[in-house]
Amino acid sequence: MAGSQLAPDAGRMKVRHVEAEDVALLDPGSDVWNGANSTDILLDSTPLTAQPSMYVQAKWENLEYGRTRNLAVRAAHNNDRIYFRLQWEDPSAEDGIRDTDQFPDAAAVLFPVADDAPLQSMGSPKQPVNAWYWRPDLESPYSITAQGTGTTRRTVDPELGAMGGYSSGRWSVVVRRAFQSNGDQYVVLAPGEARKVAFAVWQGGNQERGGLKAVTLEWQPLEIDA
Amino acid sequence: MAPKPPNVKRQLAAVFDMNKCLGCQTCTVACKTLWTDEEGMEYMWWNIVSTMPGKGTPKDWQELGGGFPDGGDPKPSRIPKVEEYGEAWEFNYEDVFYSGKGMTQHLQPTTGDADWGALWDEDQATGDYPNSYFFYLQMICMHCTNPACLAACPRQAIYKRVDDGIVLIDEERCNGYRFCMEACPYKRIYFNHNKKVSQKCILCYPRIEEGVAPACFRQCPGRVRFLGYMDDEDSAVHKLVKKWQVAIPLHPEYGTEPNVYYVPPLSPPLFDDEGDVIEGSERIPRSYLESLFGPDVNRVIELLQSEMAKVRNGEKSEMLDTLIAYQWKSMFGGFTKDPSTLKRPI
Repeated sequence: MAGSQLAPDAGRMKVRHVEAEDVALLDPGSDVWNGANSTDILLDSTPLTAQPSMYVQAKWENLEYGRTRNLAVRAAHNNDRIYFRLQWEDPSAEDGIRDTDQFPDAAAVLFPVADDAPLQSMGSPKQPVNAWYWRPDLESPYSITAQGTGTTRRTVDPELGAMGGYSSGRWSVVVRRAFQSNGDQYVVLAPGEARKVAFAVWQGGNQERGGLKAVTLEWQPLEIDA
Repeated sequence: MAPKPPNVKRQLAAVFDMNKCLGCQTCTVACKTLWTDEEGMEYMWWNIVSTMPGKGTPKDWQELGGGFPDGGDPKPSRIPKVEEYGEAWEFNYEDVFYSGKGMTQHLQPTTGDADWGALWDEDQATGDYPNSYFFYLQMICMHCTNPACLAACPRQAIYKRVDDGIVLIDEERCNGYRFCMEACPYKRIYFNHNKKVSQKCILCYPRIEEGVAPACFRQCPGRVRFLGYMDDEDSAVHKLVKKWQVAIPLHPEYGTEPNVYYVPPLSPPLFDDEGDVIEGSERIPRSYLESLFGPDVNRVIELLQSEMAKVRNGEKSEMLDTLIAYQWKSMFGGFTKDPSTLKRPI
């Protein structure tokens, strides 16, 4: 469905086709995002047993992490690029690393490069996954590839962009990339496809980083309008 | 249970003779100027000499946990704040020295709350005069046999070199999560605020690879620091640690098997109320030394005392001769090359 604004559509996550310029879609506060129901994604903490280090398991055994439980997602494309707008509540905006014991907030959109890649282990040696990772203190988001727990590799993809802001206790962030991508192990998406996606949010104020995060424990179906 | 230690073929080890340390911090400055003089590293002291009893650097690090106490599970800890490590303040040099205000302003920090620093309690003694005392504790990365930092990293960004046991952080793999800073019980890891990665003492490995002793060892005017492969029976380190067993680890109960060993400090005697020496007394309480080195420190102090008695009786002591280090180059286990002779000086 094409149009200058997204129409409301509850339920499955759809990537709506919209005729809009990059500059508008990249702005989380733009009118172009109005009018569509967002998909409410429920997040859980990553399992403690999945933390790859004994130290992390010992330290966080009785501490709460993955505090973000609700993520509101809207998605759109303009035939050239695909956009995800993420919104979540966070009591403190951690927008940089100001001290040794302080961590920034962050969010990521994760895709299987081939659809059979496992999520909980962040892929496998033969089944890579690709994340678009946003952090408020980074000039541009990272494209992260992984082939199993602890194997993430950060790269800079010039096609990847993001804008984010914090107000009234809530982060609003748009992450976008060109559909096509030439990077090694980068996901390639196209209009009309049915794919999978997952999300992760880190609350820096709770010292969440690495595997200490709130995630979708299962892949979510993603329908990209033709 | 603590994880299985990484395999190495050989282990470089160090012995620091606390009885010879002058507290001059030449080692500290040698390291600082060689490795940590860039932006983002201002507050780092990969080498530091703390006055003990004292809070150390970072502040109260001995109270923070980490490691594998008594070989058991990892003990949770926390990351100290920059102000606990000791902030690198800016000073009003311009005002005092160049603006004609030298008679009205005193030199003082212009940034941060100046209520703690890396050497805030330097030379501050414990106890009442004339029985007050302090001594110096030299700290670098312990290049542990079972490094808690390495085990804590979820990304395998920390590794122990197979050929010499030096523990290094791969800055390409490091994502700046800082679990290593928490897990290290000696709190010898820092966060680089520019590069956003963890960094620490590298035992001057580029020097080691050229046969040169690390900067803090070579620059020490007090001949405090010995270096060598633990299995090199000709090295002073092997003799002091294995043969004579006069050097022991700091906080062995932390369970990480550190490879820096210490010759513990001997004490001057106490004075009585009349100002007379109390024969056989020791100014530094044994209980305090035990809190640093464990009960084995008693054996070592008695060993040192008996060797000194031998020498006073006209006998020879190879152990004391080794500790005195009449030949400077005998201290470095063969790592005696002059760095100025290298093509690219390090």
